Amino acid sequence: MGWFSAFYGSSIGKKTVVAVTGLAMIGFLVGHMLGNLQVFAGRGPTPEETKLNEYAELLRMEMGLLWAMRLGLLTALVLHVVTVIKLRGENRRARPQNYAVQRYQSANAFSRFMMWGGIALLAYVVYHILHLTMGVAHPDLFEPHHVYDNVIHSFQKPLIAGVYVLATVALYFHLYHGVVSAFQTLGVSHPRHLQNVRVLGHALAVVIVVGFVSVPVGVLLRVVS
Amino acid sequence: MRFTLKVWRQNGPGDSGRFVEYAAEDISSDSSFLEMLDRVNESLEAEGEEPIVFDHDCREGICGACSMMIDGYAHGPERGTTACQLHMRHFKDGQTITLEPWRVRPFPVVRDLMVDRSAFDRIIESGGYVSVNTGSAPEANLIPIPKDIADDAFDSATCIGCGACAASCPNGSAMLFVSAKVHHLNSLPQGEPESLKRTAEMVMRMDEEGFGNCTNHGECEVACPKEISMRNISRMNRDFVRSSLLARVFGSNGNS
Ligand code: HEM
Ligand code: FES
Repeated sequence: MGWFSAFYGSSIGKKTVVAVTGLAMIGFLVGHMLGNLQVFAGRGPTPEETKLNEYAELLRMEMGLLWAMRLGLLTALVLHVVTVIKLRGENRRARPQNYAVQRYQSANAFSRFMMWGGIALLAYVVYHILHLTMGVAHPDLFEPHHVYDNVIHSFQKPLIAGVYVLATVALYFHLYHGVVSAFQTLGVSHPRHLQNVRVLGHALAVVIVVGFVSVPVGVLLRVVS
Repeated sequence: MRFTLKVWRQNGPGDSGRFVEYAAEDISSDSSFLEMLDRVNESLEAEGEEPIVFDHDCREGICGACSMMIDGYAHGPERGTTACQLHMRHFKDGQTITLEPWRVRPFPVVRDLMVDRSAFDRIIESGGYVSVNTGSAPEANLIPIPKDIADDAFDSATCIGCGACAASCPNGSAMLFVSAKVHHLNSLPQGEPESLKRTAEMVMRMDEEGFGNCTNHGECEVACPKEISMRNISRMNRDFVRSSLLARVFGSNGNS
């Protein structure tokens, strides 16, 4: 592992770790979003025949696999956050004093709010697991294995739906800059390829965020109940 | 034209520094930014005051010495222009202009607007060269190089090492500079044999000097007076990762 600690000790090594873990989490998000959209299949004749519940049970068919996934995701998240904090510390040290006047010409809200967007996401992930995975955030709205009911009952409360909508706004900010940035970090350099990555990356951010936000909004508007 | 200058004055590396305002009167719109500062300094000297210290050498945009933050922009508001090539006609008559030195820890302030950029020299020493036997100069066209590659290498080679990239980067990252130097040599047949070793060593030196890490804000590319492209940073990342993986497989720095 000597090579890895040397790699991780370098600036580019750490940047690579952030990019790879970020993209891995995006891969998960796409799958997760497609799963969530099952809610729009509505309520089946029985809870067991409800599409969203079937999907949730499918995940639990092989608990070993599920835990492997969870462990992988947790590793990616921890590596991502720890590395980002290290990088940010180095950046701070490199710029001990700010300019009295600096006019940004290319940095924008998306690139500058990566840390804040990330912190919002972290807080959200903790809440989300306590809410819909463990059921301890709102015990009155939670019944094990009744995913569909849990989702509907929760999102009929505007406050809870609002938290989820805000989290997707944070996610949008994070991904708008993050997807393109990750590919640049990983070496996509040709202007034409980079332009394609930019278009696809921004489209991916929109698709992921619209997919996620449609669930609380759909429930709130009683599209499904 | 006349201007109000808000200039960072600092007596030395140990001094904490402060802004001092000066009036610049009777400035020709055709004068360069440094000529304007010369005039202000002449009147300061006439009054027995210490002139404003700023770095400069060629005054024709090729040496990279004239580093300063002009009104929030590295080298001033004109794209692709060094401070010495910037003309006063690009400013509004009566404007207040703030002048600051580069603020990156690896570039300590020597005095006022002048910083010590030898961190860049040390990065070059760590790998910004090609190992060849000296002797008589080789025939210019002995090694054929396709024009697009030669042009691309030349675009990177136009870097004058002024430090505007690191100075304008919100993270204090020097990756545009380092990647331009790396790519210029890595892309040519003369530099290719040492490319992975060069990349690894220059990146390590850059880190040791205390520069920050790129997050693709893109400020460097806009600030660069030679308009060097950030695509060099992506290429450097690629070469660095390759050199690290090869180090694992072959227990060496790739080539060498
Ligand atoms: C849902 C989970 C997350 C996903 C999918 C994600 C994705 C990404 C991606 C793709 C990047 C770009 C990497 C690069 O620029 O090379 C990135 C960067 C970043 N992430 Fe995350 N991230 C997540 C969670 C977080 C969390 C929880 C934090 C902080 C507490 C965070 C902080 C950052 C920061 C500061 C950057 C900036 C690095 C840069 O701009 O290069 N992220 N993220
Ligand atoms: S003084 Fe040489 S580039 Fe400006």
